[in-house]
Amino acid sequence: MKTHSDWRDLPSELLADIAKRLSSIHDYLSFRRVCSYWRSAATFDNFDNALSRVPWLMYVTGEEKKEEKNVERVVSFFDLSNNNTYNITTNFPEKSYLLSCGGWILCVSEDTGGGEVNLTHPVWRVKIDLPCLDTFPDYSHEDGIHFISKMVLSGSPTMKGDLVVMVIWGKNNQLGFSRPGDSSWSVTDTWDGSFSDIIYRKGRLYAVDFSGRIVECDIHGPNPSQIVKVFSFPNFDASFDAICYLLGSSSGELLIVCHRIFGRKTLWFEVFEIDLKDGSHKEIHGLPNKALFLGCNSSLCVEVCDWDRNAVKPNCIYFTGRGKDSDRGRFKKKDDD
Amino acid sequence: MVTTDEKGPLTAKKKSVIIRSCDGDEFLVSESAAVLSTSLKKILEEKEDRLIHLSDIDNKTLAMVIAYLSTHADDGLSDDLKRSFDQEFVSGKEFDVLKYLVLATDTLQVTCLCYTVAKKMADIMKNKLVEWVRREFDIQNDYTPEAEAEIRRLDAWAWDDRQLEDD
Repeated sequence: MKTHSDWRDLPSELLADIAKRLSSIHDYLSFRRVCSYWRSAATFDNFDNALSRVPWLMYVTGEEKKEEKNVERVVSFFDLSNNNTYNITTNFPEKSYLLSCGGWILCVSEDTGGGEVNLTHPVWRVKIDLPCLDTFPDYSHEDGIHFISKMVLSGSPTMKGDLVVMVIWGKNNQLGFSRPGDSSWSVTDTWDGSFSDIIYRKGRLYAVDFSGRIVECDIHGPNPSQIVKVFSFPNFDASFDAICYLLGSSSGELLIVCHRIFGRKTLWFEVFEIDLKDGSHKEIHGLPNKALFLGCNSSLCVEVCDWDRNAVKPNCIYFTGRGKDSDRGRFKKKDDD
Repeated sequence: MVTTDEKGPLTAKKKSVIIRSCDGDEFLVSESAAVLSTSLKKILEEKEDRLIHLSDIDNKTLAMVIAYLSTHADDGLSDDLKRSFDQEFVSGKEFDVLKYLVLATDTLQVTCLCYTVAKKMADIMKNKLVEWVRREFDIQNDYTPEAEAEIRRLDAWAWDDRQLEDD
């Protein structure tokens, strides 16, 4: 009969299965500290590629200058699941713009004039350099650090495989991508609209524009610069401004969320489930067991049933805008669906 | 002793298998339930014998696994009912019982049960001190004091004034 001590011989896949289900990065770090065998099972990419988790909310607060150019910045992270705030020291430059996807942060800075871009993880403490902004066509210094407005990753950067960093760039909000080691950013064919959100799904890049049209791009294929329109609304209501977001749920649905705004004020949100196979869509009025996170960072759909309902409310949309005065908050959908 | 599982009488048409625990007790299981375990499926494919002896799973644990397999092999039950069965299956079980269940799941390779128990184990480790996990799982800390200090230093934000349960 197996005894207690057999836990030491548990296969690393099973240990990894347990570790992947830890809901907080805190518990994951504790797991890694237990012994060296557990540490080797609980790799960074095992955490990154596991189920969607309630995100930490990041805000940059104080900073502490060390030497002339070496600035250490304290970044605060608010953990919704336990209402704790963690202060983590980072090396983000003074003038930098931060975008996140799955815990990874794209840091764009203007220290050297060329627009340095890198990918970092504040907890794993890994830094990956990407091509500078001045390798985009038409980039000029005046465009500044907000040149990239959205970023998604094809997977965890610590995992072996084809890592693609996909972005919305420039004044016209077009699509671009790069891989670590590339000498420059690549751009896709020009689109006559302006993209508002991107998502990486089933090996492909999908983007939605401000009119709710979706394009697809075979990012790992032989022709990654080609974009193909795969969906549009037959009658898109253009009477109010909308920011369209694209989300994938854990059960595989593709959602478009229209954040209707008037000036900076939020009017309402419309949620549509999209079927790319037949190009149909249907409006969803309730989001049972789901919470959506929308804003400058990669859009996220979290299944709330798996989590403490005190931390995140189901049937809610958590949103932020860009800039200090932009609207932000939590929007509750009707429960009548 | 032969124990039939509780989920309905086995009809003559249905093939069944006898599984013997390390304590020597025998359990009569339908083949459709047994093959949900990858290990049992392999054994059944390789040999004609309808008696399988598991030398490292005790009575109590085996009875639980068989109840699980029989429920999941029951075509009459909806997926929702199976899901709520899964929830109840792991809730309220003592930690020691669960530890054996994880090991049995590993031996028998029951994929869906593996997810359920792994989730439960992760829930148990939530907000626990490293020392608690080492003690309860009887795991030796093999880090040198220097290595441990370095880990603590790197993630200092995570260990400073952390409020944890040590029950």
